[in-house]
Amino acid sequence: MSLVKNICDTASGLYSLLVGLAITGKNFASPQLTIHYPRQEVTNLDTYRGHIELVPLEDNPILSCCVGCGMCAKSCPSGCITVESKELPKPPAIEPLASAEPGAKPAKAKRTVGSFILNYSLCSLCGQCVRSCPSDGLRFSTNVYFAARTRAEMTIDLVERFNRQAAGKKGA
Amino acid sequence: MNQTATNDVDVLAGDYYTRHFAAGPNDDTLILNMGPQHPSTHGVLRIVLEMDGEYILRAEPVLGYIHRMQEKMGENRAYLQYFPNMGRVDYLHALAWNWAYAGAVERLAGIEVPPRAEYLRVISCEMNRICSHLLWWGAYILDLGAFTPILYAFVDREEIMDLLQIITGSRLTYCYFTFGGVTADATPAFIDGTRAFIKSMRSRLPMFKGLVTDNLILRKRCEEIGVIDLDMARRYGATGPVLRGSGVACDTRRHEPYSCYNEFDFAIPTASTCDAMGRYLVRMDEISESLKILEQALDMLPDGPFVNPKAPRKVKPAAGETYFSVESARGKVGVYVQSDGSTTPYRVKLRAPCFSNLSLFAELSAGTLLADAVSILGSLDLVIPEIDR
Amino acid sequence: MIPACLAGLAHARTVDSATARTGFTTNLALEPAAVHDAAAALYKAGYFLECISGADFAEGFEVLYTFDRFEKPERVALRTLAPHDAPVVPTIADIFHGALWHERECFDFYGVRFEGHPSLLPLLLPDDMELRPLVKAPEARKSREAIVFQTPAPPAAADSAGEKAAADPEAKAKAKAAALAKAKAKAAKTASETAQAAGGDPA
Repeated sequence: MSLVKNICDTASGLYSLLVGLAITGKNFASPQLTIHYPRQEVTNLDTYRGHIELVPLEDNPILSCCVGCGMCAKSCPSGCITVESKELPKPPAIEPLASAEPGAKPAKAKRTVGSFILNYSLCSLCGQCVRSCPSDGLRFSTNVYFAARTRAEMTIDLVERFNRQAAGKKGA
Repeated sequence: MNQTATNDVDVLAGDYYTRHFAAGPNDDTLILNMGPQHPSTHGVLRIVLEMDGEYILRAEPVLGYIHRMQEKMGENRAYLQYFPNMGRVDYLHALAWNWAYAGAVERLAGIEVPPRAEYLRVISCEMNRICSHLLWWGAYILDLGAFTPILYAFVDREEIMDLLQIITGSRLTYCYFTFGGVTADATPAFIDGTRAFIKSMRSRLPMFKGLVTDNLILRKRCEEIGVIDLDMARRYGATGPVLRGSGVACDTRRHEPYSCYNEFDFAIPTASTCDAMGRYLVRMDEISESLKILEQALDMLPDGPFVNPKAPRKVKPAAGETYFSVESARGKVGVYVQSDGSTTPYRVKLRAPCFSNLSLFAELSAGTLLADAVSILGSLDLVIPEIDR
Repeated sequence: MIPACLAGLAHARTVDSATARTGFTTNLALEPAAVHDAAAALYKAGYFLECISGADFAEGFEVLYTFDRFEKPERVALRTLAPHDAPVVPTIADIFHGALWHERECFDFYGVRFEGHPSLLPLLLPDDMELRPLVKAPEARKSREAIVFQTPAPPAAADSAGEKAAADPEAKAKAKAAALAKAKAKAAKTASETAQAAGGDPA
């Protein structure tokens, strides 16, 4: 009785191996799913969470929403943000006497970001900076192809990047 | 602080742990290091083995190769700042740890979660669970010597990772939850993609069964290997598929329901054989059950905010303690938070299921072949960063 | 709520905090000498060892043992206090073998020695490390009374906040805790003195 069972078990076991071979054979003949980068590229980069970047103002895209308040630097768990604000130059008054009321205080100078240095080698892409910004001045970029060879190259100057992006939009 | 047993300890070769281990009763056995660089230990795990030929007489795991002192970091950061650490504890089921921490602090601070956020948490966590089981499956078969199934598993994992990238932005160490909900809403692309994924995953599972589960070689490597009985599970605190493979239908989603899991109809798969094959079958069935939960959650997804608009920016729970547990792919995750009323926790304790699951390895592997020990380790589904924290 | 197996425990002080908030069905503070018998009783009653963790309070190092059941959710927390200068607690590793590792981790982080542990070697930290990382500086330690022993506030007067809070257990616990936190600041010293004098008074 146990000899019959052994033979049946062996037969079903060998059959399972043949089934497996058939499956691998079928997959071998199917088209390849691997994307051969850089000859081909992936298509879902728009949802990628890359390093943060500054967001331009809607009505004045050469300026960013960031006012340099430093909330992002305070809420970052890794301490990778260094931000300084600066005063925006006041626009020249065209008719100063006509618009100024007697006894009115001069308007407070608006501030914008002066320098914004991100130490990307410490960043964990947690998003606390993006969510804590009171003026929605930060967002994740889709910079998937970021690569660096030295630690210095991992330090990103976001104001410089923002200016480059703004100039690139305006230019050709 | 050095612990010296006898004078002989200092004479033996090797490092601190080898010397303590080698000072054992037998003199003519081989002391072998398995790891910390080893393809089958699933992380930087070192196991010091005393071998008699191919048989293991004693085994002693040595931990700490990826110990990052996560619990100290919990005391040094504000509550919101500690979220990214949770993804790095168990990177394969990061959302379960996100959930455990978010749940613990929400309970302490009394923050409510809107229904849509609960459902989004369930959907993303179950997708993460399927992703984790697929990687476990591929890596386990790879340990046993089969090189094909891991890439078949990765095809399905890519689909899940692309879908989760839509809502979370990340592919592995998700930082998607926040106190009071989640950080981004589900888009129509995500919902349609998930429905398509459920269909495609269901059509792939029979192929996995035909290729691997029914395979004679796998059955010979997994059946009757690593038998864990109920008493052993109780003494070591084993949970998750390791426990359910021994016939105990204990799943935190049913045992201690959290969030909206009470509203879903799903079964708790168990196996009565208590061996590695039982644990294997439990995890494969869990993939099917997770697909069922996903389907129901997508059908029942309510409208509304994805985060509680009244959740405080600066979380400062009243003094107290709480223990919140969640079912991850590996077992029962526990996060224990003590608050002293300030903006940083007083104590954060991370209860990792793999820590308790691995602690039974020493007793379980005595007398087994080394190749069977590899199979046992794979069937425990270990992620070493979770053990070491 | 104390399970039947622990009913005869000597010198147990019940922590009376809302289960909905802490997640503990039973929360008991024991003397170190009583821990081994309590663990043996829980093992016989069919509980499993979930976790052992430590904490550093002003009164000493607290070791928290959590047990649970597989059949139904019933988390039992046992806590014991060991003085800072001589932190020794008897081991439960002969009953629950999972404690072999949990106690080594506690020793690593706090320096608490578990008497009777077969091999109290460092588990996660380097073997030559002297520092015990989770031990707090003396001025940073808080009192265990404020964080753990929160006696519930007396039933709230029939105001709208109390009625609304009564419907939602989470908000109720938060309201109690918030109201208590203010009172605690004043009464903390007197409460701890009275509690120590009363000894095993469960209320």
